[in-house]
Amino acid sequence: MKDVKVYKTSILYSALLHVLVLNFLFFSFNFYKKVNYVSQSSVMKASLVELPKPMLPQENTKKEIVLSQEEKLDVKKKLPLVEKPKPSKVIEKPATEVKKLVLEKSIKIENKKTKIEKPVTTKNEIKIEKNKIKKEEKEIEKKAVMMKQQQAQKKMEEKLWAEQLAKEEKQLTLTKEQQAQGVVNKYNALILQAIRSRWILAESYSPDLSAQLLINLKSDGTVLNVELIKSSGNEGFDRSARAAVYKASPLPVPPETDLFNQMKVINLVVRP
Amino acid sequence: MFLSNLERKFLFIFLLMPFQVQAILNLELTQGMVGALPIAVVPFEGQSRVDDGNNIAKVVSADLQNSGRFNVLPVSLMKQFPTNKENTDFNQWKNSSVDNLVVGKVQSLGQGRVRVEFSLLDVFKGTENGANQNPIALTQTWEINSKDLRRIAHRISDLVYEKMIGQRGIFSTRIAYVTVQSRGENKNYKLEIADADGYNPQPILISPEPIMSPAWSHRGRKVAYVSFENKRATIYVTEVATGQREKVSSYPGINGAPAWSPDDSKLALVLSKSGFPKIYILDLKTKALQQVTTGSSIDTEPSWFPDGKSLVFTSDRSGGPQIYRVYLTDGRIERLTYSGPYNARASVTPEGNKMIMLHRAEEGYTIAFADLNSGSVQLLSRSGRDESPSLAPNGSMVLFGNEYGVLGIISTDGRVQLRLPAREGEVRSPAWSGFLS
Repeated sequence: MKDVKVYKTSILYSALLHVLVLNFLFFSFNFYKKVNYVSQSSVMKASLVELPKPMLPQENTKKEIVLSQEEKLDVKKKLPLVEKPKPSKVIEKPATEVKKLVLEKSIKIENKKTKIEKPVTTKNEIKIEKNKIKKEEKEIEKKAVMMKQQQAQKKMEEKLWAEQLAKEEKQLTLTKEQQAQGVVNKYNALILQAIRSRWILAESYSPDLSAQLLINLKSDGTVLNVELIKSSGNEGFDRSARAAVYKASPLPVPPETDLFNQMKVINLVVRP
Repeated sequence: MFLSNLERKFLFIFLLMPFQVQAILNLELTQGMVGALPIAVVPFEGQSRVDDGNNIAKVVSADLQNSGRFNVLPVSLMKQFPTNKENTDFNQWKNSSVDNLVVGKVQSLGQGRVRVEFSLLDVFKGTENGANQNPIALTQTWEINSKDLRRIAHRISDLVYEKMIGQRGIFSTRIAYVTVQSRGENKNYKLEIADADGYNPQPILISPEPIMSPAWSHRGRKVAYVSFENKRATIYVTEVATGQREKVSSYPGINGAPAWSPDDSKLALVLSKSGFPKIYILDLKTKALQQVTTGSSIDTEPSWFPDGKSLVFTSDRSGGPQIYRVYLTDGRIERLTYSGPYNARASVTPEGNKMIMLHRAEEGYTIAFADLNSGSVQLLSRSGRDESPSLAPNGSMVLFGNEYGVLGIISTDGRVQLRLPAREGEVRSPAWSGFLS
């Protein structure tokens, strides 16, 4: 029992972590894409902001429409390449310069510190030394402030660029989502049509009746099972709806896995 | 405690997560096709295919087909004759566009006793596409006398109907009616009861004087009727099983139109002892008589609302015959029909929201269905010569006569109309029983 008590917390948290990671995987979370995106935007040069706004989203949309008819999955891979400008080598310079300056500064300070540590004979000398050090320190500080300002500016610009990129990204995913939604809507209509055309009402049931079915589908559209979540109170009506769903099996579903995943569980409300 | 509060909360979230993740598509389906359910009734093993009245498959087929709710596959189109789910090739039935299958067999046990096995199968569940669920929707076995085969067949029809349609079947109920034979000047009146499909008629009373208005008690044990055998109208109640009868009302003048209360303890009837035909209620146990309507109009043809708290009746209090409702608690009366110059002989559906009645339209006298909430009237029959509508206990069918003396049945959705087997002479005043069990 004691052992269990010792480990139970860690087991619990590890289980939670697993579930979290599985959830990410379930939603096809792209870890790599995100990482690339961050590194690129942080190194982006400011001047690039002034470039004319890329027409990418629209172009991409067109491409995607064409592609969607062939292979949806390829779009995902191709899009980042088209969309994101490659980081140029020029960008690396400022970064290294900053590093150099910081390095120099620290060396100088160290030097001065060693100097201070040396035994000094006269107070004047010390004063002069001190002043010198102060001056130098001030200069270094000035430089550092300038560097900081520059860095801040750069950061601002980078931020702006990142924002724009994010905006474009958002727009892209939106159009993608909209297109996916369009496909889903199309299949929704096909599914309803398939069931409705097999649904026979032998009795003039009260229009107030309403039943709720949960339908589980296999990836080819085969109805795995139909669960009656909420009965209408009339067994015949419930049966007629269930029978219609079974008779419509296999239901029309999209071949794309990510789209199918959106409709593999259907919550169907039925009214006469 | 094994787990602390916080840890239990985490565990709860952990358990909940997989369900939260699942994306569910929400759809709404409306407007199915109005139609008949495709079904096959396979001839039962152990029975000849001759229609000797005891052929279960033939009786069940006729019951279901005549209900209008089913489209029964003809035996000539069947490619196999299974008796249970094991020897059924479901894909073949699917190809025959049959949704459900009635199968079974009859085995002789000797000494006039038989064992009847029956199953209702779901074809779509038996096929590979139907996820191979259990295709048995219903299954039952009886050991009976062979003379009860027809009764069991109706029982099977009831079970199938209730399972598939969602309301009680009426195939085991009975009807009562009066036949009139003319022999020259003389007439011969006969009160008969029969199965709901018109088979198995049995006489209750034979008389040279008129017999009128038979009415079944709701549990189907007794029939009340008006007989003129003593040259004046008298209301009797006969117990069907024993033939025992009791005189319940013989006031001077009219004694007519008996109607059983929902609990069968009272009879609503029409008496003219006050000078005008009025509605009364007679307590069958205490014999106490309560007058329900008053005045100088003609009030007749009472019929109970299912809750027993009010009656419908026909009255000429505002000119022509129309349907009124009287509340027994306070005597309040309201007019129910305004459509057309003639509405009479109403009876209320089990739900209490509609009634059937005799309605005069352009064609003449027709059976009509009136919505009590909206007041709308829908014609069911079109012959223009119909009379005496009587509602089945599940409200799905109406039994009625016509001026030629032939009985017909029409479904309340108007989809099915059929005639019952002819009797000698004219048939009048049909009445449908309640559920017998």
